[in-house]
Amino acid sequence: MTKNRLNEEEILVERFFSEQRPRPIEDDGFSRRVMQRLPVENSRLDRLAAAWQILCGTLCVVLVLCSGVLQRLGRQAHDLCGQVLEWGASHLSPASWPPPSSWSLPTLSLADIGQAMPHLQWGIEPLVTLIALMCILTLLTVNLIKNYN
Amino acid sequence: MRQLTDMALVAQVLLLHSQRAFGQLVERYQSPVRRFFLHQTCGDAALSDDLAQETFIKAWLNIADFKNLSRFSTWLYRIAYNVFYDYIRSRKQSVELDESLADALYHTPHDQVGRSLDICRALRRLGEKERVCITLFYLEEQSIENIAAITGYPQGTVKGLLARGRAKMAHYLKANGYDEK
Repeated sequence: MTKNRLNEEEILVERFFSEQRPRPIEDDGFSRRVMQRLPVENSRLDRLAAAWQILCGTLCVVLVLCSGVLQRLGRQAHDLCGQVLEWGASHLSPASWPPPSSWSLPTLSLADIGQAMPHLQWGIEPLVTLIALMCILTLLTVNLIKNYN
Repeated sequence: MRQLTDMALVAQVLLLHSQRAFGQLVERYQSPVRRFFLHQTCGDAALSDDLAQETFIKAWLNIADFKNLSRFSTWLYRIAYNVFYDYIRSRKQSVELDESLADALYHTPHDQVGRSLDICRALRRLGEKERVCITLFYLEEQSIENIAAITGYPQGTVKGLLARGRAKMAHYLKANGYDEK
Protein backbone atom coordinates (compact mmCIF):
# COMPACT_ATOMS: atom_id res chain seq x y z
CA MET A 1 0.00 0.00 0.00
CA THR A 2 2.76 2.45 1.09
CA LYS A 3 4.93 1.30 -1.78
CA ASN A 4 2.07 1.96 -4.17
CA ARG A 5 1.61 5.46 -2.74
CA LEU A 6 5.33 6.20 -3.12
CA ASN A 7 5.25 4.95 -6.65
CA GLU A 8 2.23 7.07 -7.40
CA GLU A 9 3.95 10.19 -5.98
CA GLU A 10 7.05 9.45 -7.97
CA ILE A 11 5.11 9.05 -11.21
CA LEU A 12 3.13 12.23 -10.56
CA VAL A 13 6.24 14.34 -9.83
CA GLU A 14 8.13 12.77 -12.73
CA ARG A 15 5.25 13.57 -15.09
CA PHE A 16 4.98 17.13 -13.81
CA PHE A 17 8.68 17.84 -14.35
CA SER A 18 8.78 16.12 -17.73
CA GLU A 19 5.96 18.46 -18.87
CA GLN A 20 7.92 21.45 -17.61
CA ARG A 21 11.30 20.34 -18.95
CA PRO A 22 13.34 23.57 -19.24
CA ARG A 23 14.71 24.69 -22.60
CA PRO A 24 18.30 25.99 -22.90
CA ILE A 25 18.64 29.66 -22.02
CA GLU A 26 19.87 31.89 -24.85
CA ASP A 27 23.24 33.50 -24.16
CA ASP A 28 22.12 37.07 -25.07
CA GLY A 29 25.57 38.52 -24.35
CA PHE A 30 25.87 36.90 -20.93
CA SER A 31 29.18 35.18 -21.77
CA ARG A 32 30.61 38.43 -23.13
CA ARG A 33 29.65 40.27 -19.94
CA VAL A 34 31.28 37.56 -17.82
CA MET A 35 34.49 37.76 -19.87
CA GLN A 36 34.55 41.55 -19.49
CA ARG A 37 34.22 41.23 -15.74
CA LEU A 38 37.03 38.71 -15.31
CA PRO A 39 39.65 40.25 -13.05
CA VAL A 40 42.74 41.17 -15.05
CA GLU A 41 45.77 39.92 -13.25
CA ASN A 42 49.34 39.33 -14.32
CA SER A 43 49.35 35.90 -15.76
CA ARG A 44 51.99 33.35 -14.90
CA LEU A 45 53.39 33.83 -18.39
CA ASP A 46 53.71 37.59 -17.87
CA ARG A 47 55.47 37.11 -14.56
CA LEU A 48 57.92 34.58 -16.05
CA ALA A 49 58.63 36.85 -19.02
CA ALA A 50 59.22 39.84 -16.72
CA ALA A 51 61.58 37.82 -14.50
CA TRP A 52 63.45 36.56 -17.56
CA GLN A 53 63.85 40.08 -18.96
CA ILE A 54 65.10 41.44 -15.62
CA LEU A 55 67.62 38.59 -15.44
CA CYS A 56 68.86 39.18 -19.00
CA GLY A 57 69.02 42.95 -18.51
CA THR A 58 71.01 42.61 -15.30
CA LEU A 59 73.39 40.15 -16.97
CA CYS A 60 73.98 42.59 -19.86
CA VAL A 61 74.75 45.47 -17.48
CA VAL A 62 77.11 43.34 -15.35
CA LEU A 63 78.98 42.07 -18.43
CA VAL A 64 79.38 45.58 -19.83
CA LEU A 65 80.62 46.93 -16.49
CA CYS A 66 83.03 44.04 -15.92
CA SER A 67 84.52 44.24 -19.41
CA GLY A 68 85.89 47.75 -18.81
CA VAL A 69 84.33 49.01 -22.03
CA LEU A 70 82.92 52.08 -20.32
CA GLN A 71 86.31 53.13 -18.96
CA ARG A 72 87.91 52.70 -22.39
CA LEU A 73 85.11 54.65 -24.04
CA GLY A 74 85.55 57.39 -21.43
CA ARG A 75 89.28 57.56 -22.11
CA GLN A 76 88.63 57.70 -25.85
CA ALA A 77 86.09 60.51 -25.39
CA HIS A 78 88.58 62.39 -23.23
CA ASP A 79 91.39 61.98 -25.81
CA LEU A 80 89.06 62.98 -28.59
CA CYS A 81 88.05 66.18 -26.82
CA GLY A 82 91.72 66.97 -26.23
CA GLN A 83 92.52 66.46 -29.88
CA VAL A 84 89.61 68.61 -30.98
CA LEU A 85 90.65 71.42 -28.66
CA GLU A 86 94.27 71.14 -29.77
CA TRP A 87 93.27 71.13 -33.39
CA GLY A 88 90.96 74.12 -32.86
CA ALA A 89 93.64 76.10 -31.07
CA SER A 90 96.17 75.55 -33.86
CA HIS A 91 93.64 76.55 -36.52
CA LEU A 92 92.12 79.72 -35.02
CA SER A 93 91.99 81.44 -38.33
CA PRO A 94 89.41 79.94 -40.67
CA ALA A 95 91.54 81.00 -43.61
CA SER A 96 94.21 78.58 -42.52
CA TRP A 97 91.84 75.63 -42.24
CA PRO A 98 92.72 72.70 -44.45
CA PRO A 99 90.29 71.71 -47.18
CA PRO A 100 87.39 69.48 -45.93
CA SER A 101 88.69 66.49 -47.88
CA SER A 102 91.67 66.27 -45.55
CA TRP A 103 89.59 66.24 -42.34
CA SER A 104 90.37 62.99 -40.58
CA LEU A 105 88.64 63.44 -37.22
CA PRO A 106 85.89 60.80 -37.55
CA THR A 107 88.24 58.26 -39.10
CA LEU A 108 90.74 58.84 -36.34
CA SER A 109 88.28 58.44 -33.49
CA LEU A 110 86.58 55.28 -34.87
CA ALA A 111 89.93 53.70 -35.59
CA ASP A 112 91.10 54.57 -32.09
CA ILE A 113 88.02 53.00 -30.50
CA GLY A 114 88.52 49.90 -32.62
CA GLN A 115 92.14 49.66 -31.57
CA ALA A 116 91.31 50.26 -27.94
CA MET A 117 88.79 47.44 -27.79
CA PRO A 118 89.97 44.69 -30.10
CA HIS A 119 88.66 41.94 -27.79
CA LEU A 120 85.16 43.40 -27.91
CA GLN A 121 84.60 42.04 -31.39
CA TRP A 122 84.87 38.42 -30.34
CA GLY A 123 84.55 38.60 -26.55
CA ILE A 124 81.73 40.22 -24.66
CA GLU A 125 79.89 41.80 -27.57
CA PRO A 126 78.36 38.63 -29.09
CA LEU A 127 77.31 37.47 -25.65
CA VAL A 128 75.58 40.76 -24.87
CA THR A 129 73.95 40.72 -28.31
CA LEU A 130 72.76 37.15 -27.74
CA ILE A 131 71.23 38.02 -24.38
CA ALA A 132 69.53 41.10 -25.85
CA LEU A 133 68.16 38.95 -28.69
CA MET A 134 66.82 36.42 -26.17
CA CYS A 135 65.02 39.27 -24.39
CA ILE A 136 63.45 40.45 -27.63
CA LEU A 137 62.47 36.91 -28.62
CA THR A 138 60.86 36.39 -25.19
CA LEU A 139 58.83 39.59 -25.61
CA LEU A 140 57.72 38.55 -29.09
CA THR A 141 56.73 35.05 -27.95
CA VAL A 142 54.73 36.38 -25.00
CA ASN A 143 52.91 38.83 -27.26
CA LEU A 144 52.18 36.11 -29.81
CA ILE A 145 50.74 33.80 -27.15
CA LYS A 146 48.67 36.67 -25.71
CA ASN A 147 47.31 37.55 -29.14
CA TYR A 148 46.41 33.91 -29.72
CA ASN A 149 44.52 33.88 -26.41
CA MET B 1 35.09 22.09 -36.13
CA ARG B 2 35.73 19.49 -33.48
CA GLN B 3 34.59 20.55 -30.04
CA LEU B 4 37.30 20.47 -27.43
CA THR B 5 36.50 18.49 -24.31
CA ASP B 6 36.02 20.27 -21.02
CA MET B 7 39.33 18.89 -19.81
CA ALA B 8 41.23 20.19 -22.86
CA LEU B 9 39.76 23.65 -22.30
CA VAL B 10 40.52 23.54 -18.56
CA ALA B 11 44.12 22.52 -19.36
CA GLN B 12 44.45 25.54 -21.68
CA VAL B 13 43.10 27.83 -18.97
CA LEU B 14 45.48 26.35 -16.40
CA LEU B 15 48.64 26.25 -18.50
CA LEU B 16 48.24 29.26 -20.79
CA HIS B 17 45.80 31.29 -18.72
CA SER B 18 43.71 31.28 -21.88
CA GLN B 19 40.70 33.57 -21.67
CA ARG B 20 39.49 32.23 -25.01
CA ALA B 21 39.28 28.69 -23.63
CA PHE B 22 37.52 29.92 -20.51
CA GLY B 23 35.09 31.84 -22.73
CA GLN B 24 34.16 28.57 -24.44
CA LEU B 25 33.49 26.97 -21.06
CA VAL B 26 31.28 29.94 -20.09
CA GLU B 27 29.31 29.64 -23.33
CA ARG B 28 28.93 25.90 -22.79
CA TYR B 29 27.69 26.13 -19.20
CA GLN B 30 25.92 29.49 -18.99
CA SER B 31 22.53 27.91 -19.63
CA PRO B 32 22.55 25.21 -16.91
CA VAL B 33 24.14 27.52 -14.34
CA ARG B 34 21.68 30.38 -14.97
CA ARG B 35 18.78 27.91 -14.98
CA PHE B 36 19.97 26.49 -11.65
CA PHE B 37 19.83 29.97 -10.11
CA LEU B 38 16.49 30.75 -11.75
CA HIS B 39 14.98 27.75 -10.02
CA GLN B 40 16.55 28.58 -6.67
CA THR B 41 15.41 32.22 -6.82
CA CYS B 42 11.99 31.34 -8.24
CA GLY B 43 12.50 33.16 -11.52
CA ASP B 44 14.41 36.33 -10.56
CA ALA B 45 16.36 36.70 -13.83
CA ALA B 46 18.49 39.70 -12.81
CA LEU B 47 19.54 38.11 -9.52
CA SER B 48 20.18 34.78 -11.25
CA ASP B 49 22.46 36.41 -13.81
CA ASP B 50 24.40 38.24 -11.08
CA LEU B 51 24.89 35.01 -9.15
CA ALA B 52 25.84 33.13 -12.33
CA GLN B 53 28.43 35.81 -13.18
CA GLU B 54 29.88 35.50 -9.69
CA THR B 55 30.02 31.73 -10.13
CA PHE B 56 32.04 31.97 -13.36
CA ILE B 57 34.39 34.59 -11.90
CA LYS B 58 35.04 32.33 -8.91
CA ALA B 59 35.62 29.42 -11.29
CA TRP B 60 38.18 31.53 -13.20
CA LEU B 61 39.98 32.56 -10.02
CA ASN B 62 40.01 29.06 -8.51
CA ILE B 63 40.44 26.90 -11.58
CA ALA B 64 43.77 25.65 -10.19
CA ASP B 65 41.73 23.93 -7.46
CA PHE B 66 39.92 21.76 -10.02
CA LYS B 67 41.52 18.37 -9.48
CA ASN B 68 39.70 16.35 -12.14
CA LEU B 69 38.23 14.10 -9.44
CA SER B 70 34.77 14.94 -10.76
CA ARG B 71 33.38 16.30 -14.01
CA PHE B 72 33.89 20.00 -14.68
CA SER B 73 30.11 20.54 -14.62
CA THR B 74 29.87 19.01 -11.13
CA TRP B 75 32.68 21.28 -9.91
CA LEU B 76 30.92 24.30 -11.44
CA TYR B 77 27.58 23.37 -9.85
CA ARG B 78 29.38 23.07 -6.51
CA ILE B 79 30.64 26.65 -6.87
CA ALA B 80 27.15 27.79 -7.90
CA TYR B 81 25.67 26.06 -4.86
CA ASN B 82 28.19 27.80 -2.56
CA VAL B 83 27.57 31.17 -4.22
CA PHE B 84 23.83 30.74 -3.66
CA TYR B 85 24.30 29.82 -0.01
CA ASP B 86 26.68 32.75 0.53
CA TYR B 87 23.99 34.98 -0.95
CA ILE B 88 21.31 33.49 1.31
CA ARG B 89 23.55 33.93 4.35
CA SER B 90 24.33 37.51 3.40
CA ARG B 91 20.62 38.21 3.19
CA LYS B 92 20.08 36.46 6.50
CA GLN B 93 17.52 34.18 4.96
CA SER B 94 17.13 30.84 6.62
CA VAL B 95 14.76 28.24 5.31
CA GLU B 96 12.24 29.76 2.96
CA LEU B 97 12.67 32.47 0.34
CA ASP B 98 11.32 35.75 1.61
CA GLU B 99 8.39 37.63 0.22
CA SER B 100 10.46 40.19 -1.70
CA LEU B 101 12.13 37.42 -3.64
CA ALA B 102 8.77 35.84 -4.35
CA ASP B 103 7.44 39.20 -5.54
CA ALA B 104 10.36 39.47 -7.92
CA LEU B 105 8.85 36.54 -9.76
CA TYR B 106 5.99 38.71 -10.92
CA HIS B 107 8.05 41.83 -11.63
CA THR B 108 10.93 40.26 -13.55
CA PRO B 109 9.56 37.35 -15.48
CA HIS B 110 12.11 35.47 -17.56
CA ASP B 111 11.33 34.08 -21.00
CA GLN B 112 12.53 30.66 -20.09
CA VAL B 113 10.65 30.55 -16.86
CA GLY B 114 7.43 31.84 -18.48
CA ARG B 115 5.24 28.80 -18.35
CA SER B 116 7.10 27.39 -15.38
CA LEU B 117 5.15 29.57 -12.98
CA ASP B 118 3.69 26.34 -11.66
CA ILE B 119 7.17 24.99 -11.07
CA CYS B 120 8.07 28.08 -9.07
CA ARG B 121 4.93 27.86 -6.99
CA ALA B 122 5.51 24.20 -6.38
CA LEU B 123 9.19 24.72 -5.57
CA ARG B 124 8.32 27.41 -3.04
CA ARG B 125 6.67 24.68 -0.96
CA LEU B 126 10.05 23.08 -0.46
CA GLY B 127 12.88 23.88 1.91
CA GLU B 128 16.09 25.16 0.32
CA LYS B 129 17.93 21.86 0.60
CA GLU B 130 14.98 19.95 -0.81
CA ARG B 131 14.62 22.47 -3.63
CA VAL B 132 18.29 22.19 -4.58
CA CYS B 133 18.12 18.39 -4.65
CA ILE B 134 14.80 18.27 -6.53
CA THR B 135 15.85 20.78 -9.20
CA LEU B 136 19.24 19.15 -9.71
CA PHE B 137 17.66 15.70 -9.96
CA TYR B 138 14.59 16.37 -12.08
CA LEU B 139 15.45 19.50 -14.06
CA GLU B 140 19.23 19.25 -14.47
CA GLU B 141 19.22 15.44 -14.61
CA GLN B 142 22.09 15.03 -12.15
CA SER B 143 22.61 11.66 -10.51
CA ILE B 144 22.33 11.21 -6.75
CA GLU B 145 26.09 10.71 -6.63
CA ASN B 146 26.64 14.04 -8.41
CA ILE B 147 24.15 15.84 -6.18
CA ALA B 148 26.05 14.52 -3.16
CA ALA B 149 29.31 15.85 -4.66
CA ILE B 150 27.73 19.24 -5.43
CA THR B 151 26.04 19.79 -2.07
CA GLY B 152 28.50 17.94 0.11
CA TYR B 153 25.69 15.89 1.70
CA PRO B 154 26.02 12.13 2.07
CA GLN B 155 24.12 10.18 -0.58
CA GLY B 156 21.66 8.90 2.04
CA THR B 157 20.82 12.48 3.01
CA VAL B 158 20.28 13.38 -0.65
CA LYS B 159 17.91 10.43 -1.05
CA GLY B 160 16.02 11.52 2.08
CA LEU B 161 15.76 15.13 0.87
CA LEU B 162 14.56 13.93 -2.53
CA ALA B 163 11.90 11.72 -0.91
CA ARG B 164 10.65 14.53 1.33
CA GLY B 165 10.67 17.02 -1.53
CA ARG B 166 8.87 14.57 -3.77
CA ALA B 167 6.18 13.96 -1.15
CA LYS B 168 5.61 17.71 -0.69
CA MET B 169 5.51 18.25 -4.44
CA ALA B 170 3.04 15.37 -4.91
CA HIS B 171 0.83 16.80 -2.16
CA TYR B 172 0.87 20.23 -3.80
CA LEU B 173 0.18 18.78 -7.25
CA LYS B 174 -2.70 16.67 -5.99
CA ALA B 175 -4.13 19.64 -4.14
CA ASN B 176 -4.05 21.59 -7.40
CA GLY B 177 -5.65 18.87 -9.46
CA TYR B 178 -2.59 17.71 -11.40
CA ASP B 179 -3.38 14.06 -10.66
CA GLU B 180 -6.66 14.39 -12.52
CA LYS B 181 -4.97 15.20 -15.84
